[in-house]
Amino acid sequence: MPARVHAILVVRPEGRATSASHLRRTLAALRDQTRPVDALTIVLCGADAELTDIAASSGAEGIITTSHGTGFAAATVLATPRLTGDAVWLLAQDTAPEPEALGRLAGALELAASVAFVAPKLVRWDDRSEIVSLGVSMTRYGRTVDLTAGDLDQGQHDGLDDVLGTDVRGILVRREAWRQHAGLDPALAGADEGLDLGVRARLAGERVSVAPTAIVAVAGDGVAGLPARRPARRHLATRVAELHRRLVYAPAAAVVLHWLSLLPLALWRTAVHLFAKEPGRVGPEWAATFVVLVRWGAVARARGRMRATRRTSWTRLAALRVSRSQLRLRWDDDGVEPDAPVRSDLRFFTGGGAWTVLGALAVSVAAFPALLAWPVLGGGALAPLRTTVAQLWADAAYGPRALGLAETGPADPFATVVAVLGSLSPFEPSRALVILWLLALPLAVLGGWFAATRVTERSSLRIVAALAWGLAPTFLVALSDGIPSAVLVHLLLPWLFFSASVAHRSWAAAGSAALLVAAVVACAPSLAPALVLVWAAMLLLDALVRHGRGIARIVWLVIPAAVFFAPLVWRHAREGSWWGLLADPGVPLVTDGGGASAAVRAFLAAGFPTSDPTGWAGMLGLPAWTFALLSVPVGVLALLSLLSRRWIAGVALVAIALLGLGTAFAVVGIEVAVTAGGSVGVWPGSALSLAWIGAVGAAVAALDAVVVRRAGVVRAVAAAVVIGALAVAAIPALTAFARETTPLTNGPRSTLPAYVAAAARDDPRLGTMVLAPGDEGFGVTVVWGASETLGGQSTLALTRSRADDSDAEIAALVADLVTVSTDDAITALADHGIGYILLARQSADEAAAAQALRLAAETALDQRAGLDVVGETDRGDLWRIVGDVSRRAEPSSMTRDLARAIGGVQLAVVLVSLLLAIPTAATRRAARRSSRVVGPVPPEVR
Amino acid sequence: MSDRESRRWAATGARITVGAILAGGAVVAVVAGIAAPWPEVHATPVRVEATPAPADTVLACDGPLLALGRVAEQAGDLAVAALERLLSGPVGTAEGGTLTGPNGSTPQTFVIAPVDGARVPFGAASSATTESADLRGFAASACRVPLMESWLVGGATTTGGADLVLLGNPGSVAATVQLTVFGAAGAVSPPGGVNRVVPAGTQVAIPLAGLLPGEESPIVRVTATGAPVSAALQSSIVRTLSPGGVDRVSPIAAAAAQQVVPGVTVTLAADGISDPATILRLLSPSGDAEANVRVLDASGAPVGAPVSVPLTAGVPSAVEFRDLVPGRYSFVVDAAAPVLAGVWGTTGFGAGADFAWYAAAPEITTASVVAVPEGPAPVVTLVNTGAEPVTVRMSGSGIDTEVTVPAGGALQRDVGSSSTFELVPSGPIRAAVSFTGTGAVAGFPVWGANADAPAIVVTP
Repeated sequence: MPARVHAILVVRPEGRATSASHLRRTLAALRDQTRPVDALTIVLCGADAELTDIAASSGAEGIITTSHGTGFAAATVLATPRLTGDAVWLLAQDTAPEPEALGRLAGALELAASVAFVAPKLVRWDDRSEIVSLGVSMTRYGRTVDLTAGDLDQGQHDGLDDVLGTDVRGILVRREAWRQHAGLDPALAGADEGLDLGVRARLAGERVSVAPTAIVAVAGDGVAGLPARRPARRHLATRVAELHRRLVYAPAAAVVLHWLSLLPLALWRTAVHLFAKEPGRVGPEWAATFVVLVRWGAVARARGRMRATRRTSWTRLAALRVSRSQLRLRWDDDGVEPDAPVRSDLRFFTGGGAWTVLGALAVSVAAFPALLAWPVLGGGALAPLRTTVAQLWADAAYGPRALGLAETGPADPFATVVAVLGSLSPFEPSRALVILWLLALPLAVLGGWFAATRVTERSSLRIVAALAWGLAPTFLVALSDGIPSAVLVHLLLPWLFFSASVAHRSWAAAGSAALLVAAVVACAPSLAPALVLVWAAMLLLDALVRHGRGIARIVWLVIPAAVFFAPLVWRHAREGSWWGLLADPGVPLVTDGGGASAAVRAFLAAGFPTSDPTGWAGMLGLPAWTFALLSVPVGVLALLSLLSRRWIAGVALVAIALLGLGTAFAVVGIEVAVTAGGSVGVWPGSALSLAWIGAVGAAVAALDAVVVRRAGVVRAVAAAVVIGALAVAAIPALTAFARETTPLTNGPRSTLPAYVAAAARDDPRLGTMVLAPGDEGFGVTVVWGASETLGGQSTLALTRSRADDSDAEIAALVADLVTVSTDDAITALADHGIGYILLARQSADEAAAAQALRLAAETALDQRAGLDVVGETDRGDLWRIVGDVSRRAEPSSMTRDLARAIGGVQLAVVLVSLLLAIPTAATRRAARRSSRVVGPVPPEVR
Repeated sequence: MSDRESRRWAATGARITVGAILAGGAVVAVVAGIAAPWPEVHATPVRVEATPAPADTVLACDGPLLALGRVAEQAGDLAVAALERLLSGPVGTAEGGTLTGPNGSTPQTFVIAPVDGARVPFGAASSATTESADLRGFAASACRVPLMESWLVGGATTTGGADLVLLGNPGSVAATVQLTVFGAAGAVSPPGGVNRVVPAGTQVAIPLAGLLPGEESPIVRVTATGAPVSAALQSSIVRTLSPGGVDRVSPIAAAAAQQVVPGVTVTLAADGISDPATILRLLSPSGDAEANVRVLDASGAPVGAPVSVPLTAGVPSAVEFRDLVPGRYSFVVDAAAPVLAGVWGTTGFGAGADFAWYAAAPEITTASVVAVPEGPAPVVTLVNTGAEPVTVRMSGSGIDTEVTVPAGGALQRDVGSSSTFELVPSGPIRAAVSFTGTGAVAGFPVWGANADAPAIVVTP
């Protein structure tokens, strides 16, 4: 028997009640030891009256009070001078040894003189059948591996003896070894102290062993060892310890290399954490990295301590490290699923979803046959895309805008969407839009089908939802009228619904939903208020129903969108033009006050964004409202869902529908953008898409919940009525192309004359001034590059309410150009980089005033020295500036830095979201554990 | 009914009741949303007004009197019949130049550069007298800015007429000119008048008879593209064998609902002459209209009752005035449609006669310089058709006076021959210079200095 055991008990008040109760139990357990402690020193980190009282009455040999921030290692250092025995027993407030524990530990230490310290078996505070720790090892690369953590104690580990290291709690250290090794390394900050001590002992030629029969219950307060309930601190401590040990254990020559690798490694591990859907570990990762980066002194001290005691080489430790096969065995164990999957098969192919999509593709090809051959889509709000991927992305970045004399500012986030789309067809970006148009119908059906999997398990109803989504009147109007942003919204929304509805339970879903939110808001900023409301409701529901377990995931949903819109919001805030944020991106379609009336809103309520909703009225000569009735079946079914057994889903979906309708009602009277041709209204169709998802979802929920006898027949009849009515309403839009009533055109490849397009094809810094005579004056645009493009539009320019210096400058230039004046406007233009002047082609119904302006401008330009008449082109009369035309000024270095910073942040957010969104085996396993359908489904409905 | 079953019924009932209320609420909300007056937001477009920097003012003079067909072998050739006597002022403000005219003639041009961003008033005019077998009389005209569209009211292509359309292009690029002749048959675009190119720095002369022969009352519209042209008509007549006079017809810039022809000189007493000595020519180019013609005497008092003239679109009408006693008159034409007007007056129908074409005068609103070329008894006539009296200050060589022209009135002042004077009106005024001598009459309207170009509205 060793003569004396001196116990050091470290106490730190955190959550007072538990600290006190834990300490009482620990002290009681110490008193109950069959082999009592010979001396007890209590280190009190932080003054606390109750704890002090308990400690005072414990019969401790000494009580040291120190500051609250003192770590376990530092606390033991304080107590070390008072040590009197032959062995030190390291305890904390939450380590309650069983009565025989000390006896068995001391016995183990007695038996082998080469053993530096003995560790007990740590079990759970409240459940001694679960092992918390019994021996710790590390991999070849230094990662800590607990050999038994979480295992159920069935005596299977009781044969364990020699280990590399142990948990620090409850170890009994030979005093000689304690002195020689200078105790614990205070730099480890709460993790791996026992492992580190074990490594140093092993290197000193000593042994470390465990005594599985000595049992200590631990609560994980975090005074010693890792805290059980504070994951961020646990991650931080673990990572700090790991990095610190890496620098300490490395050969001297490699320390600098290791130090240099810290930052890149942190970056890499950030990606890994995100991919593993553990974004909570990113912060601790970086904190740990920075802590270790600057702690040169601690590393040097630790290395010095190790050098002083080291007797043998590292190779002696190799056998004790965890091998790869052992590791794999432990990991594979995690894969065992305790509960059977709740989730049924997807049944996309067997349930007919695939056939529906295929059918939609056939209909789409039949409806737009010519699109198979068209290289560029034009008409409506469509425009060609840039011809190279680099230019596409340049348009999406902060900097000089593609339109306007000297416009510099943030791009519309929609430009990024266009750039992504165009990059899918890198050699011919414009074709991506043609293909999108061709695939829109099947893609909508596909999206609708998947969105429906969140509402119903029935394949037949999923097909109904998919068809209803594909036949949405607002979608078909957007297709036949050529409104790309609205089409994209309609294609993205079902996927947003699909992923966002489960975002609270899965990081993968939250990651993809966040990107989809950004894309949807980029395509239709007017949806932002409605989406924010839905988001707030989600936050509230999660907080109330799930105690905020998914809050972080739901919060993330809006982060990418916020980051992408931040520069634009900032600019609008500076200009005070808040309404401008609502403007639809892309080519402006002049509506000129044609908006809000009760009749228009009535059609909106029926799901039609225009007031000859289907085109049937024009074809048959019937009043238009008769066809608005075709969407009534969907509405009736949606309302019935409120009465059904699935009323919870019904209420949520009807609320979304009302939100969408409200948005449509509100935006139809909003005209925030202005072009020379007139003001531009916000397209209400995108809000109708949102309303439609609620209405169709609720209708499907209602059909799903039919429990009357012969429910199948009821469902079939109702579905047939809904789809039949929508199909009738869809015929005019789907035949519009064949009847040649759509504005869709083949091309043009450029909105500028081919002469300019060819000259500026690879030169986005060559400008063309486009003059459009109007009733009141000249509309003027400066187009940079080969064409006005879809991604090059800027709502910032269209919604500004005040003329700025560059407006005044361009007005002065135009005034000089269109009249006979002496000012040298041509040189000014050439200095700006404008090489061409285009007098836009005369429209058929041009007013007399505009004609007079046109004539005067033509004459003035014809007479102007320094201009070559190129002549009449299909886009208008063209003049070329003779002589040297410099190129558009490079953006200033500040602009470029800002562009880089904004682009970097946006890229980072997208990468984070993408990494989160990529499904892994673990996320798929987790997903299988929950139902595909969101929300409660009464058993009788199943 | 078991307890459990009744509870289920109660739950179902509650669900259906609440659901129905919610559904009703949703319907009410939508209907209210349709009917509610939603606030509207309409952005105001950004419009910027920019005033173009004033350009050089270019004046082109009509050059010497030309004679057609003096060489029998080359009937189409033009000869210089009489050199012009040019007068311009103030000295030192304009840079002179010349056009290349027919048969080596060099009609004068002036370029007046703006000073300190403002236009400088400048005036120039020329006159010529000729006395030969085929051409005799006195002609005078002012040098004018070239126009994209000009109307020439005057001349005739009946037997004895030898009229020339003069087109000068003082600009730096070629102009393409379309000539449309309005005659008894309406508007005609003769082949000789389509796409006539007037090279930069030249003057061309086109015989009017070649465009529309046998027309008693032609009116020519000159439309230029590429560059504006300075158009004029040299009109002369030979009655039997004796030349009956010559004149230069100044153009009218555009048809207007009101045309004023000031300073028409009547020298022949009405009695004992079979032919009318004063003829008003009218045209409504675009629509049928009723024109109301008033004649004011030298002091602005109306002479006789207003004459109402029905006009057919595109067909010129001639109105004869036989009862006017010798003196100076101003003609005021009002019509519902835009019209053009010019007055012909002659000193006689025998040997030694001369005639003049008086063109409608434009409104002058800014300080302008009037050049009075050498000629017999020059008189300036001021007409104010506005509702407010207009004070006009005339100062220069031989005149320094301030007169007030009453609303709807007219007055005349003698001015010195070969003199320039500045005319500063306080409101819109029309003016013309007339010459009257024995067998020598002429008159030309005063074109004000160009007002600064109006601001251009630009929507960037």
